[in-house]
Amino acid sequence: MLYNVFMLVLTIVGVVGIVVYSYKMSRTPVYPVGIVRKPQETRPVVPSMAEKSLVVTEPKPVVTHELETSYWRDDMYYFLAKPEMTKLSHQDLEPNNILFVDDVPESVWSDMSGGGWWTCPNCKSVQKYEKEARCVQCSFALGPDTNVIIGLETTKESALHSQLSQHHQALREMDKRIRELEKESVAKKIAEVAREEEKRQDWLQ
Amino acid sequence: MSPESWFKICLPAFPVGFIVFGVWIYFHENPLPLLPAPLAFWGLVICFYLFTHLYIPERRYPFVLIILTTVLWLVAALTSHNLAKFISSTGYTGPLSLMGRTDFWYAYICGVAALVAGLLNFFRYEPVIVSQIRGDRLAVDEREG
Repeated sequence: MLYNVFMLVLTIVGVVGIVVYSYKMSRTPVYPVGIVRKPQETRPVVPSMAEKSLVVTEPKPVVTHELETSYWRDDMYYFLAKPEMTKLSHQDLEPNNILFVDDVPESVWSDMSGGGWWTCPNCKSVQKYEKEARCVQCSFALGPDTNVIIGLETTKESALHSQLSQHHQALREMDKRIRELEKESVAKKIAEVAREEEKRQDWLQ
Repeated sequence: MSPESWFKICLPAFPVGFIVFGVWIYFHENPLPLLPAPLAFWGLVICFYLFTHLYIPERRYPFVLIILTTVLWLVAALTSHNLAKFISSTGYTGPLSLMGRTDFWYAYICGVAALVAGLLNFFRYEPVIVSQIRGDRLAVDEREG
C-alpha cells in the first residue's frame, strides 16, 4: 500500500513538474553558453628602470632565460637589435654572483657594453659594472657576500627607453601597413576576377 | 538536423537499442520489463546535455528538469523490477495480462514521460545551441588561422 502511494506521488510529481518547468523554460529567455574567451591581453609597458633596483643578498647565478618574455619576441625586438651587441654570458657575471634584474631584456644589458650600473655600497657612487667589479672611486671590491644595489641612472635609461618605444612604434606601423596592403590586394583580385567573369559571359553570349 | 545533432540524440539511445536488438530480436526474450528504465535514461541524458549548454539568468529550470527526470527514472526502474517478477511468475499469460498491472503503467508512463521531456526540449533548443557552437568554432579557427 505504502509502496503504491509512494510510486503514485513520485509519478505525479515527476510528470507534472516536467510539464510545468518545460513550459516555464519556453516562456523565459534561454541563452546558449559557449567558449568563454579571455579578454585581449594588452602588452605590458616597458618598466621604468629608474624606479627599479635590486638588492642582492645572496649569491645567485645569472639565468638568462628569465629575461626573455613573450612580448619581446613578438615585437621582433631581437631582429631590430644591433648586430654588434654582444650578449653577456653566464660566466661574465658568475664570479661576482650579481643577479640583475627583473624584466630587463638581455640585449638591453648587453648594450650597456658589458654590464649594468651599480651603486657602490662604500662610497655610494653610481658607476658602470665592469668585469673586475671594483669601485673606481674607492677601490671597493665586490665579493660574493657583498650586498650590491644595481639600478640604472635616469639619463641612460631614458635614452634606451625612447629607443625601445620607437622600435615598438615602428613595428606597429609596419604591421598596420602590411594589413592595409593585404586588404587592398585582396580587393583588387576580387575585382579582377569579377571583370574576367563578365567578359567571359559576354563572349559566350 | 546536422549529423552531429543526430549523434547527440542517438548515443543515449544505445541501451534501448541493445535491449531491442539484443534481448528481444537476438535472444528472443521478453524486453518489456527491461525497456522503461533505459527509455527514462535516454531522456535524462538529453536533459543533462541541455543543462550544460543552456543558461537562464537567475533561474534553475534546466537543473530542476534533470531532478524531475531522475525521479521518473527511479520510478521506472523500481516498477520495472516488479514487472519483471510478475512476468517470470505463472500469472503472466501474455502482453495483455500486463495491462491490469499498475507496475506496467507506472514504468511505461514514467519512462515515456522522461523521454518525451528530453526530446521535446532538445528539438526546441538544439538549433540555438548549434548556432552558438558554430560561432565559437569560427572564432577559434580565426584565432588559430
